[in-house]
Amino acid sequence: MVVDIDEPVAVGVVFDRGGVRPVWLVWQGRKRVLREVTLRWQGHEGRATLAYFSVTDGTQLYELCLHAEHLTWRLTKVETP
Amino acid sequence: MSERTIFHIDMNAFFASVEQMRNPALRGKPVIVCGNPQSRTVVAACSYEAKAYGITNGMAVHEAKQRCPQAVLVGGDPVTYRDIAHHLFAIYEEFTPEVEVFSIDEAFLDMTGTAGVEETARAIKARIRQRYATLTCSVGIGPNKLIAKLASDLQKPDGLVRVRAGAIAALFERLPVESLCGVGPRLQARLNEMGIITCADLGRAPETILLKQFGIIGLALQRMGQGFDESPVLRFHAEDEVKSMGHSYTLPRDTGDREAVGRVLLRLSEQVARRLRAEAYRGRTVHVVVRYQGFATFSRQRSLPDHLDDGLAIYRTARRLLDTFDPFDSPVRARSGLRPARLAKPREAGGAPLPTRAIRMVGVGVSTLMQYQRQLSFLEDEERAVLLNHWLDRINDRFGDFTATRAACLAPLIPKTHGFLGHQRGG
Repeated sequence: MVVDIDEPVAVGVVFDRGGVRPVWLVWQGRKRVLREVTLRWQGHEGRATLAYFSVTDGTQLYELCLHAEHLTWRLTKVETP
Repeated sequence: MSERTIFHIDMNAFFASVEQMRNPALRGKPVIVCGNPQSRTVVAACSYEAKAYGITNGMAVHEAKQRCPQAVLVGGDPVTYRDIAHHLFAIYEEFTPEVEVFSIDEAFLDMTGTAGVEETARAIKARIRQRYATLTCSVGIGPNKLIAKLASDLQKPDGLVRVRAGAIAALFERLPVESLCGVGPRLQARLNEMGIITCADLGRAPETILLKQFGIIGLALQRMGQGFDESPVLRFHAEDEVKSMGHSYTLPRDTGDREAVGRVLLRLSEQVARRLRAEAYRGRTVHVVVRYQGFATFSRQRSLPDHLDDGLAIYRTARRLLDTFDPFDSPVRARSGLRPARLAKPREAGGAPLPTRAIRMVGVGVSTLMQYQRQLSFLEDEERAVLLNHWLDRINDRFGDFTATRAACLAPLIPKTHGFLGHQRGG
C-alpha cells in the first residue's frame, strides 16, 4: 500500500560513478539502511530540478526527492507490502 | 537509391515495466497501470503477466479485474515515464542523429550505411539494459519504417527481427492486413468485406476498386500492401507546424453541475493559454468538446475576430459554447455517429434516470494559430491583462503551474495536477 508522506528527512549519500546514490535515511527517529536504488528519474518544480529516487531497505519501498536548488531531501512516499 | 536500413525500437510493456523496476515486489506479477485506481479508469498499460489473462490496453479496469482479480493496480506516473523516455532517446542518438520519436515508447532510427546492422541493434539493447536493468525492447529492422515496425511486432518481448526487402512478399502472404500500421479495426472490417484478408491481398487489389472505396488513400493502401513506404525518418527536433493546442479532462464522476464543469473549463482554458504564450502563439478559433455519460461526444467551435492568448478570454467563449450543449434537445454534430434522437437517456445502475446533462469529460482547444510578438497596446484593459499574464507566467515558471492563479481555479472538483490530464498538440 502506497502512503503519501511528504516530510523532510536526513539522507546519507555516496557520490558514485558520476551520480548520487542514497545509502541511508532517518525517518521517524530511526536510521534505515538502504539496500538498493530501484529507479531514478527527474521532474521539475518551476525552474528547479527535482531528482527522485525509489529505494528499498529490503522491507519497505521509499520515494525520496532531492530539490536540486535548495539541496533538501523529502520523503514523498512509502510503500509497505 | 540504395536500400535503406531502418530500425523500429518498441519498449516492451513500457509503463508496467517501469513500475516493476521501481517496485521489486511487483516483478513477475500481473500489473495494470491506469489513472487514479480509486476512480473509474482504463488500462493504460499492463505487464506481460497481465496480458496472459487477456488484459489489453484500453480495457476498462473493472473488466480487467474480472479477468485477473489478483492483478495489482498502479496509478500511472507520467513524470517518470517521460524522463526515462528522454534518456532512452538520448541512447538512440548515441548511435545515429536520425531519430524519430514515434511515441513515448517507440522510435525509428535511420541506420542506412551502418556496417554490422544486427550487432548495432544488439548494442542498443545492451545499452538500454545497462542503464535500466529490467527494461526490454523489441527491435525491428527493415528497408523502410512500415516494414521495420511490422518486424518489431513479430517478436515480443525482447525481440530482434530483420526483414530484408526480398523476404517481404513471402511474409505478406501470411500476415493479416491489420498487421500494417494504420489499419485499425474499422478499416480492417471494410477490407475484409472486400475479400482482402492478408497484406498480400491488399497489395494485389485493383487500383480502381481501392480508389473507388477509399479515395486517394486507396493508392497508399495498395503501396502499403506491397511493402512500400518512402516516408523519411523525421529527426527528433523536426516538428510539424503547430495547428492547435488543447487540454481535456475526464471528471472523477459524471456531473450535471454546469458551474462545476465551468470551473474545470476555466482551468483548462488557463492551461491552454499558458501553453500558447509559452510558445508565442495566439489563436482565434475556440473549440469545446463534451463527452456525456454513455460516451456520446459532441463538439462546438467559434471563430473570433481577434487572436487570443488570455485564459479568461478563451474561457468566456468556451463557456458560451458549453452553455449551448444539450444532446437531447439541440441539433449538434455528434462524433459518436449517433443522431440525438437515438440516444438512450442515461440511467443509474438502480434504474433511476440521471440528469440528461451529466458530463463525463470536457476539453478546450484553440486553433487558427499565428505566431505572436508582444506589442504594446493602447487599450488600458488589454495592456493590464497582458502584464498580468506575463507576471503569472513568471511566477508559475519559477514555482510550478498554478502556484498563482485565479481564485475560481481552486476548486474541489479538480485534484492535484499530476496524472493523465491529457493534452493535445494538433497537426
